Amino acid sequence: MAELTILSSGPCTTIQDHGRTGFQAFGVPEGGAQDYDALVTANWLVGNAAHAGGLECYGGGLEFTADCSLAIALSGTARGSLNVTAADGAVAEHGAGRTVFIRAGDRISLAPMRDSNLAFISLSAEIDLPRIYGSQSTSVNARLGGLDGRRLADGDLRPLIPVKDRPAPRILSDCAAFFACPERLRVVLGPQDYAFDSQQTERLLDTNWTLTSKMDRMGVRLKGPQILHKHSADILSDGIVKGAIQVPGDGQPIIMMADHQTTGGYTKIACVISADLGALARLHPNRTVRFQAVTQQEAEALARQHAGIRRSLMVSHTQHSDRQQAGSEK
Amino acid sequence: MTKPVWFPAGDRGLLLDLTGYAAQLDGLPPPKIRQTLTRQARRLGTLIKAEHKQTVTGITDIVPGLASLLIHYDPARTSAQTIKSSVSLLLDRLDENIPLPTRHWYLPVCYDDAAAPDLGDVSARCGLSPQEVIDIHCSTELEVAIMGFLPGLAYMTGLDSRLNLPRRSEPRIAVPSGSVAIAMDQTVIYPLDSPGGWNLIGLMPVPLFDSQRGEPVLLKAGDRISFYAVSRSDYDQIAAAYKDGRLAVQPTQETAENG
Repeated sequence: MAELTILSSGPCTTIQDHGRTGFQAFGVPEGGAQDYDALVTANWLVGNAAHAGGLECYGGGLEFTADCSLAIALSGTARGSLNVTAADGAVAEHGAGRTVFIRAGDRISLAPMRDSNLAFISLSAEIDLPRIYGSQSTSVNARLGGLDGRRLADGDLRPLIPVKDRPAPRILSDCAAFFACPERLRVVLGPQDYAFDSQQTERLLDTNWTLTSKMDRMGVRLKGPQILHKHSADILSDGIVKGAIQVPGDGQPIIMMADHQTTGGYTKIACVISADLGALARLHPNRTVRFQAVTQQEAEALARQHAGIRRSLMVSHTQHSDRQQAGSEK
Repeated sequence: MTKPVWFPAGDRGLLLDLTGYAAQLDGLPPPKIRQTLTRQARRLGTLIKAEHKQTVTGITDIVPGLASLLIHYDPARTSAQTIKSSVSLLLDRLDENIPLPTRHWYLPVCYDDAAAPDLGDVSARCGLSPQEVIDIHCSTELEVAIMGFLPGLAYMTGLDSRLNLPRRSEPRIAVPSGSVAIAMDQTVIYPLDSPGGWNLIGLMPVPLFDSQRGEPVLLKAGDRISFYAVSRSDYDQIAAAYKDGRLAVQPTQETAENG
């Protein structure tokens, strides 16, 4: 059987797909690719189903090889690139957002990206791993899924089941604008914005927040002025959505990311809208970011608009069937 | 019952707060009311799921909290407004007399010293002998109020007030999986080795989460739990039997419970 070998894993590379939907009542985190835009577009580039499993990589530094020919693609960045070193030592650089064909034994490396802290690499092969609750995604803190529920490590091997037919080459039509770093992340206030007076809500929206290096697949800790509670940071534990901005007693917000715990007992002042979750995940530590409030209804419209833009990137100029495939994405 | 209040949770979530107090910050409801409202939230979740298959589309997950219900949805397929109107109709039908399915479990716990690093400390702080702590812990029926923190982790409420203690001031970096732990009016069992600040009083031999099991999660919200003490050798035998697949763990009974 063909095999994928991780030569160098970088700071945090995990196997991810769309995650586990519908089991949070059992404490099972949703998990899955932090950047849904990168997941779906990378998979489209290699002809996979939109939600197929691939490699999610924080901070670059990943190097891998496979002993079979494959189509691969990098997404979640406009300026990052894959360096492919052939057996004879020849090196070719391939930009993000396009199908790259590799031969057995080629070494592929992803350097740190200037425009994104997070990228997704799809392979035209199924990674041979069991599905738990319908997903191969790795939730490191829950030690669930992926390869033994952990980050990939140097030397890891994994059998691959390559697709039968070589996919047609594809290209994302305008990934530079789509994956550009936003000035602002939009939020919907609530569910517990009532636990703060209006001055504190203004402080949330008027501050240049710094994303600290305390970021992982569970959450991103922000640094800035203290957000003070009217009374207490504690609430009766309730369910949590991805993107929720939790304010614990120290007044320093934490944004809940894909592997967030399913319930919790801290106030959540606002939630980052789903259209901006990919952009949030791509931000480097020490970047600053501002929040802008929109209504829930506006956020829903923005989610639909965002999905429309994403679909518009995935239009092949060569094959009509590609358009249908892009349209079948959820 | 107070009127439930809706709160947005981004564009993929809607939180129904059944206390209705939260917005006014009248303070948290007392335990008895909290329990009733938490059951109501579960009841509503069951109603939505039943209805979901017919009319309410676009709901992706329903997560009961303490006196609340979080509805996850897909904004590509529905909207908060649509969910609010359909769920409000169900709210009108919500009746405390609608039977709520519940399962009863009798779970073995080894309270031996090696399995219970905090039992001595707990007994000293509660002014009870270790045997009294064990007897009290085994004589109270607990209810899984909510799930969370880790896959399969059940927060069981209803701990006897004589055992109410805060969490440890210094959390442990590593708590072994299967640890039975108490704090406030609750008991938890750790489904995995993980950090934790609760008081460890025993070990339970059957994993709360096992991805190899047909149903990976053992306990669910609403389940009733009673513990019984086993010796270390019984504990080892049960753990080995489970591991070899000779022991299928089942709830003792399944009933419908009101209230």
